[in-house]
Amino acid sequence: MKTRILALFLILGLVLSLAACGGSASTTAAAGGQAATTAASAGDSGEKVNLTFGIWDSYQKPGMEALAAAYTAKNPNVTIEVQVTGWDEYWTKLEAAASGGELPDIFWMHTNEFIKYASNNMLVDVTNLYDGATDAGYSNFPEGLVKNFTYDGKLYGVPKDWDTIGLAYNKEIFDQAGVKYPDDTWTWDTLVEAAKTIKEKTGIYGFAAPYDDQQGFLNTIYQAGGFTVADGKTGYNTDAAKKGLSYWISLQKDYDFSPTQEQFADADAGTLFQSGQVAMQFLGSWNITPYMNNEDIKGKFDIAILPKATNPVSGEGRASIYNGLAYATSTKGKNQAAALEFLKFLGTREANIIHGESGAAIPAFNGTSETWLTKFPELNLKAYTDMMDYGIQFPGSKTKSKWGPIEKQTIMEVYNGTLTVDEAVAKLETEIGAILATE
Amino acid sequence: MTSTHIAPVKRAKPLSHDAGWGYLMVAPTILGLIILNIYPFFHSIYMSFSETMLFGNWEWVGLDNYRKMFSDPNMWRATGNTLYFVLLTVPLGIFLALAFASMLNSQIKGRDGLRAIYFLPMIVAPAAIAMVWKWLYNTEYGLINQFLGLFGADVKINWISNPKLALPAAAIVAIWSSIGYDIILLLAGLQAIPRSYYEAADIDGANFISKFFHITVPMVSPTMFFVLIMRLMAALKQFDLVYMMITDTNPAFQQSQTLMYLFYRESFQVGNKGYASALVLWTFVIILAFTAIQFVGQKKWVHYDQ
Amino acid sequence: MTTLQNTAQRPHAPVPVGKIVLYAVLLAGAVTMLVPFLWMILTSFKSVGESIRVPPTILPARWITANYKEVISTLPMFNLYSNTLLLIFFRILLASIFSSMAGYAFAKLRFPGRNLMFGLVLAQNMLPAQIFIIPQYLMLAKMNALNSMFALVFPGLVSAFGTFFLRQTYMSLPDDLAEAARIDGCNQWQTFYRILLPLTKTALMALAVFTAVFAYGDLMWPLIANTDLNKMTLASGLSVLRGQFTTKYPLLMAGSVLAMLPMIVLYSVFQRQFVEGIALTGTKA
Repeated sequence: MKTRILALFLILGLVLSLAACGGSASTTAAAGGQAATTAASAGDSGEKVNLTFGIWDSYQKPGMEALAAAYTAKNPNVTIEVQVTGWDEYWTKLEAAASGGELPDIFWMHTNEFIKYASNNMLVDVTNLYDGATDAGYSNFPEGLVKNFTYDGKLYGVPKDWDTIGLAYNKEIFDQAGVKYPDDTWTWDTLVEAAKTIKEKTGIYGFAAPYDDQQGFLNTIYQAGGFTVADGKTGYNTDAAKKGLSYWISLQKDYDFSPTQEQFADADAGTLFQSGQVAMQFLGSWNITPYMNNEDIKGKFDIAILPKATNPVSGEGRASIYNGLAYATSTKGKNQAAALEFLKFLGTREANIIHGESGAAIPAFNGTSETWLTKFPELNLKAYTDMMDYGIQFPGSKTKSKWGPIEKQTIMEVYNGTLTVDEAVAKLETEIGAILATE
Repeated sequence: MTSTHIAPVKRAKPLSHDAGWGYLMVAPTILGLIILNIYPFFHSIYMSFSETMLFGNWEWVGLDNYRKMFSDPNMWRATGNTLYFVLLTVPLGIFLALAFASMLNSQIKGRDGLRAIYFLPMIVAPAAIAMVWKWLYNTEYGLINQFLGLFGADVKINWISNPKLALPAAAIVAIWSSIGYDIILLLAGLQAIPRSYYEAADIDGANFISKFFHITVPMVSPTMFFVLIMRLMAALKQFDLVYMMITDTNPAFQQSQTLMYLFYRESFQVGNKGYASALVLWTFVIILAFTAIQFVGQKKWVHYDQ
Repeated sequence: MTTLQNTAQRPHAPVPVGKIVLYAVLLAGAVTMLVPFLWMILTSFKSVGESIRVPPTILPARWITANYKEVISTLPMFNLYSNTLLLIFFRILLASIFSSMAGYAFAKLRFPGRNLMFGLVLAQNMLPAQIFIIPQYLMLAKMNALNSMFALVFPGLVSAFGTFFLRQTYMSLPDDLAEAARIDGCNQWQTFYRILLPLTKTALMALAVFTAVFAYGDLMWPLIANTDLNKMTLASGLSVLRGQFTTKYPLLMAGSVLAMLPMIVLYSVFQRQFVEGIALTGTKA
């Protein structure tokens, strides 16, 4: 009996290993999603090169593949394989790959991790990538994005996209409560009033105010005229920052129109909004494609610009956190020349238009963001591009991976009731200040 | 022809004869372990005395990581959470596994089908398990609260967001997903008990309880010991489940973060592999302590004779 | 043949109360085991919106098979299956052979350094798997062996768990069996191979099951060692379906359901052997 099992296994194993060898060739093409371009590599003068392209968002895969296909159409000897890794695993994998010298030829880079890689010579210096090019070059990208990927005066990534935060609202719930849709006259107070009314009239939560930095308190802090971390200093312990932070926290704690942090642990703000359980939320533009893929919420929501702060300590009262990704390539890559050529293509106007049209994200090249707007014309996506005028780069620094968790833990303690806002900001100033001082 | 009461006697075999075969037979395993596991382990120890900058650059900092670790309230809380997790999962888990294994060992209809069902959680993807249980635990709409609500007023227990309940809730999922493993092991152990013992006991007029405690338990004790050790180690190394069910913006986070969760964050999010290595060593020491106690204690209750 | 579990058998009661309690408990347990699994299947037929909706629905409003189609077209399922099965096959083979030998030696033979070496084996079980990932990855990178079946099998070339487990098993086998064999003229290897090894059939089955399940569920290692999606296993292949901010849950569930099929097949093959093997070792001659 046991030998029979063993035999079964052996046969199974043999058959499958044979099949696997045969299978992978054809499925590589399928998995890479390449159109006929790969097979049809007309014996060009160039050597055949296969580049790997690492990303973490499967929603954006079609967009990246469109870029790859466009490039291969012009350079038939180059095939590009888009490899998606889940966000949770992407950085572990990248780090292992970096240590072992096996990074993908091109990969996405995020501001959180950028300095780590740049300061350790993992990324190729692309400052001069567009020297001599006529209508390409880094002046075509928002300054803030270019700055994000600059280290020690040199540029290590080609900006890919930017995202901002807007106010998402559920039209049906607003109609049901008889409240007017948000517009650019809205202030912090208007938001509170509207949320209250909605809760009273419909019983549905008016606004989702979870613990969230990029889609939450960072916006309100800067709207109030404060800042958290900039130029090696902390600004938590100032009136403006306290005002902004307290406002955001109060939306959950002092009123009953927002779910509690416990409820958010069960189902996050996005889930609640998409299920029609909450009427408004601060929403990053990267969520638009996923939301529009959800037939529960599609057609029922729209976007407005974020409300203005009431009596900001300084400034106009408007702010929206923005961030952006970049494409980078590794200093240890085996196909560096080819990779750099593809990289160069990715930063051109043409590529950005393809990028925008695919709806993947808002392309970084100045003037191409309209293409993204055309993807979902029924939405007021212009709100996002308008917010860029008041955009504040998502705060970060070389030691962010150290102080980020401290910021989170300390502010969470305010939510848990073990610290007051005043105590929290004092603690943040001391602890994060100390870490920043080591830079 | 089973010999029943022969205690294990250490016979003096010619040492050289044994040694040759001994070394030969353990060689592949030991060699493999040295290369694959022990070397990384020593590397980890070395790293725990350094602050790793990144990508393999590190600088020696001596005992700094350990000083930091022992003065970090987060670490002590995580240690407490982990020990609490052990308390929640090990005794109950083993008891349930033994109970169900015994039941699944008896002559009942549909035994094969039932066994298959109990083994099912072993092959469900961990991501699916976490997602499904999160829904079951949902305060407003989860099946569990709905079910409990059948017995009276509306039940709105915050299973995974109440600091007191989150870890127990995760413990239930842990027991649920691993009971299949333990049942298989215990079944193997139970099957090794010759029926003749039970027959003899029946002839003597023994009842179920007496048979259970005088025959079943002693004879399955070596397997139980193994299950105990493995459960203990798994509980002390717990990460996956808690990571997927309880995020760091959950109010119950501080009361739920286990040592390995803290390790993961320090190692892969903060990026300080040196400090993370110190955490691993600390966990290792705790596991070592528990295991040593068990190995010493086994003399009291584990029977290796046949 | 006596049954092992007749609780409170009263000679006058026509239906044994104990048996009813037994069935009740087993069924309750079975339901608990099944509910999450059923939930998984139901979710795989829902739309993305419905899958995350609060309040959740139980049965899908519309049964959508598109999720399965999308999984099959997005992921190279055939390759994932075959890689997983091959990986399981090799790991079971290696674990059974090496751990049997080592387990026997640690349990029945005496040689200097035995306890120290076993201590090393035990220690490996106490360490979390995460610390081995990067060092093993770097080793493979140096050997230029990444992105291959060998890379997948690599961490499982030897099994500390298997060694520990089989050592316990051999320790529960009576010494006098070995003695009898020695007296008959067998050397250590023959004693092991001919006499004692066959008695560990059930344990080997259990070890095979464990090895299979662990290899099947391991997500991190195949993901890091193999960059080509075609060379990954089911668990790691499925993880690419998880996004940074949102996950298409029905897709993930559909993929997980598909991923379970080979294990169910393997189990049914094993099931018969398991039962027969158990029956054989039940009474020791």
